Amino acid sequence: MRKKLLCVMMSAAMVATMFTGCGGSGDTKTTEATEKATEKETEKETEKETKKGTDEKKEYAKADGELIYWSMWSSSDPQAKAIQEAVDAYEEASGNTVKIEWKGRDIQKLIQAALDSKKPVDLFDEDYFRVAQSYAGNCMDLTEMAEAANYGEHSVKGLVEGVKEKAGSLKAIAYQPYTSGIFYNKAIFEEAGVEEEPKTWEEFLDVCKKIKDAGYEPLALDDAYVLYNYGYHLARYIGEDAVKELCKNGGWAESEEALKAAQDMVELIENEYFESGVPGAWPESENTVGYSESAMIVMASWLPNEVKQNTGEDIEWGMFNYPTVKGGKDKQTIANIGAQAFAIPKHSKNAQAAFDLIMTITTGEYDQKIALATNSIPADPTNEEWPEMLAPCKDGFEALTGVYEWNMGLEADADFSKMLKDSTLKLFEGKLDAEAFIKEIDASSSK
Amino acid sequence: MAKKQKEYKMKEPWNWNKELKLLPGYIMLILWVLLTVVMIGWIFAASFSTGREIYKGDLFKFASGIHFENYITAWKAQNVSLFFLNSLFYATISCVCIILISAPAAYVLSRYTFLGNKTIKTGFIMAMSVPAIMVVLPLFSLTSSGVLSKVPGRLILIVLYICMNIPFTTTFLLNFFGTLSKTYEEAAAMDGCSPMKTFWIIMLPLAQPGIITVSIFNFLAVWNEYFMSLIFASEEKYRSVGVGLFTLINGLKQNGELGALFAAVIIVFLPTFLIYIFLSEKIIAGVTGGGIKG
Amino acid sequence: MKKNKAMIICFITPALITFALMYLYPVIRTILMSFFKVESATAGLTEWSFNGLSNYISLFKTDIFVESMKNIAKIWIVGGVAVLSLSLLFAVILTSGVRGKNFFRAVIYLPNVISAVALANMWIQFVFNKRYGLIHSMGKTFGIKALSGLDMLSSDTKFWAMLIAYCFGAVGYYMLIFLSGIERIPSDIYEAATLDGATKPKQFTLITLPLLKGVFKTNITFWSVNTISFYVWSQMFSPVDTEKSTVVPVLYMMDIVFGSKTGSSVRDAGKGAAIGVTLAVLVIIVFFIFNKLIKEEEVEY
Repeated sequence: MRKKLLCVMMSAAMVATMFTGCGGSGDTKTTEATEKATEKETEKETEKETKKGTDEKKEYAKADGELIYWSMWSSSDPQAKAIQEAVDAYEEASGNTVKIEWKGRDIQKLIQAALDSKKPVDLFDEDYFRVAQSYAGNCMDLTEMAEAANYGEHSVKGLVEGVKEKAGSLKAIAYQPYTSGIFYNKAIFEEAGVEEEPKTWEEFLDVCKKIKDAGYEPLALDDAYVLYNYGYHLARYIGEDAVKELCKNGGWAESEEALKAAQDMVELIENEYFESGVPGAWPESENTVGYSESAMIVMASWLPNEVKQNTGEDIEWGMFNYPTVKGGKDKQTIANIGAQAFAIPKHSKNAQAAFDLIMTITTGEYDQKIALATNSIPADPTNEEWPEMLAPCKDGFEALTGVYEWNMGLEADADFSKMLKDSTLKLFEGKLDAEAFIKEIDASSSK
Repeated sequence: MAKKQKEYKMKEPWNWNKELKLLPGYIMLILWVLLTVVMIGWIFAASFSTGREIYKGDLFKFASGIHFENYITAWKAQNVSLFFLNSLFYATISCVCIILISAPAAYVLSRYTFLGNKTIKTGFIMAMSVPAIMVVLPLFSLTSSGVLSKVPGRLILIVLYICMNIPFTTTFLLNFFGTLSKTYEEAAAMDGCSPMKTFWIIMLPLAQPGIITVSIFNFLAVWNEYFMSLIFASEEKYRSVGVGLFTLINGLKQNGELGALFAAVIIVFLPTFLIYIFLSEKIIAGVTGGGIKG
Repeated sequence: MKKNKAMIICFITPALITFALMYLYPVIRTILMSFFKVESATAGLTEWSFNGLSNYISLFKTDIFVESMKNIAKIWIVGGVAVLSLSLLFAVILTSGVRGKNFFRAVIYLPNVISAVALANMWIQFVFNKRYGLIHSMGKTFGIKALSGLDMLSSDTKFWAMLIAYCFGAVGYYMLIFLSGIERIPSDIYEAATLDGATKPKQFTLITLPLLKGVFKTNITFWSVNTISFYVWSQMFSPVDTEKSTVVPVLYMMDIVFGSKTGSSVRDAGKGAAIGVTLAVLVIIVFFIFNKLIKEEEVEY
């Protein structure tokens, strides 16, 4: 029993750890970043003063009592500090009072119970995907309010479409988006004489070879991201929907592309394009990029910040979207993106006021501040300024024409994905060849 | 009591023959202790270093100096002293109540055979093996509607801590009372002492080692409890160490401040460890304390 | 006897009330729920739809759940034997008259008061790390290739790495329970035995072990209960998402009750409840078996 209790409390810490990898909350910052942000803020002060005059006075809905906001952040998180600032501004402008309860990332365990029992909560935030899929049933449709607030112009289309597709209508407002692709160490690219970012798999293999010849390890990969790597590659061949279809209904043995994708991975291993410790125990391998031992890694945009925190190295980052494969279905302009999201419970009596607050946080001035303070991408595309370390992602992000979910559909069947992960780990460990790999996952999916 | 012990220690002379016989035991103990010390030493060293050094595996060198500021970061990030006070409050009250409820129950369950005795024992075991989320979530929805929603979360929390630990504590103490000699009760009955009085005056003190051991477990459990505290006392001013510092640890891990994370761990660990050391002295006192020898 | 009846009722009622308060309603609800299709653990009765045994049937057809049961069986048996024998060994050594008993006891128990987060990080970064870890550098120093090249965190050995790390911390806890049992055995029994010429090992098998039966039962019960609710270490050793090699039932249950961390799985509280019931039934079976195996004689001293 004692252990059980200890366990329960520790779980929290773990769950949070997991998010680093996948929830998209990896974007954080160091104190320096805050300082930078405040500096910029003061620079802009004068600019703003002049702007204010021309801005029409916004009208805010009055809240009945105080607005209650359950937050997924802990009060010590940089995100919390940035959001607090936005909330303060909202309170002053609207005259409403906001009560923030910093629940931390374990809000996942509270929120469903709170929604079911209609606890007084006016707004909350959580992983974008989960809000759209799990909580949407208890959340309000925000379409009308969003139209009135001209939200369309201040939002990332892919994310809005993602919510609509999952939840049926606009039930969540995304913020702190992330994008993904192949991140690389610019210095190594230069030294190896790579002048252009690869667009196709052949070009990519070429780059790997050049890097290897220059005496560096071309690729890093951690255990947490094996599905991500294989998923990206497979999705380039057959598209996300087909990947989902495979996971849900099987047919791996018949899929030539699944085998081809596995063979491509094996080719990387056989050519020793992965650094020797792959797959590392996260963040072991990704750190080698920071130490300038490895050149590239397939990852989401929280990587630069994470590497900086874990290694203390400030390397110059480059990034390109995942290359296309020969005969593949998907273009290079499709990438996995995600975010955190706000939602308003159906039973909230202060929906409009809550929505105003969400808009204050996720668009305009405060969105920009949050992005800079937490080293993440601005949720409002009209905010032009990206944190310095993410600047290389900007072009790729703006060029996107389609989006993937996390792990590109390989998690469509949650039970199967866990078996799949084990086989994929073995594939990257070199314990299974491509045929044996396909055979093994075909066996576990046919059950 | 402590004095007595010291005298006892001083009286014991070094008997080399005896110590030599115990040598294999010493070797095993020392090896294990060495292992533990190295590992905990690592955590301690980690609390003075940086994430970079921890990941690089060279934190014992302290190449970048000793980072005391980790402790400052960890302490300042949240209102740690408040969390300590809250936890102390929850843990003390519930530990006392748990013993007051569990000890009598364990006593009659072990001493008397009556209808339902076995069922109750099995029920307690079963209760221990029910996963916490299956218990807590229904209770949460139960308490957040109707009359119960007016009851302050802190009160509910303490009641739950007590209820939650009763099956464990009772099961633990059962075995303890079972092995105490019946001669105590017989002697007391002859002196005209009622069974109830006998329990409170004679039997309960005799079970002291067991009670203290189980209270250490209970105290630590409540002190570190996370999930219920998160759900029922999530307002910042009522937070316990479990939630408070562990959300802090989450945050620090998330933000890559591994050094400060380990500092936070040490901050939570120290008071519990001191309490443990203090109480473990008491266990010895309990064992060496008198009583009728069977 | 009449008096005793009053006493029994007086003494047992408060404990029963707390039991009913905390467990009766949730446990009955959980058992019921395991026969229904329910999405959210807090959903009202109106949202339940009866589906008989199908929660259980589909569970045992799910590969990953079967894996989790296999894993927990390994933890229970291998870990149990290791932890209980080590803790008994230390308890016996500590009561054999060694000096510095308090110190040793405190240090062996120490890992129990340290957060599992810290301990797991320590094991992963400090002991098992294949680049800088303790095992690696020991192998390197002594020239043992098998050690320096060993990657304990690869998919084949991760489970054992996790089990070692968990058991290391658990020993102190069970040792404490054994200790409290051994210390209750009056020293005159041993003194008499020594006078009769019984050697230490003989004293152990003839006196200590039989008298410790009850404590053994307690420890086995607690070990079973703790094993059943084991999951934190599993999470620590499988970052990002649950993995086949380290998955345990409670972790799988959390995934289907709260939705997995990546948000892709469908929540199914009914199935979660079925897992809960399965686990509780297992503990009860174990409890009964050991109750029959270890018959506790009426010992008193």
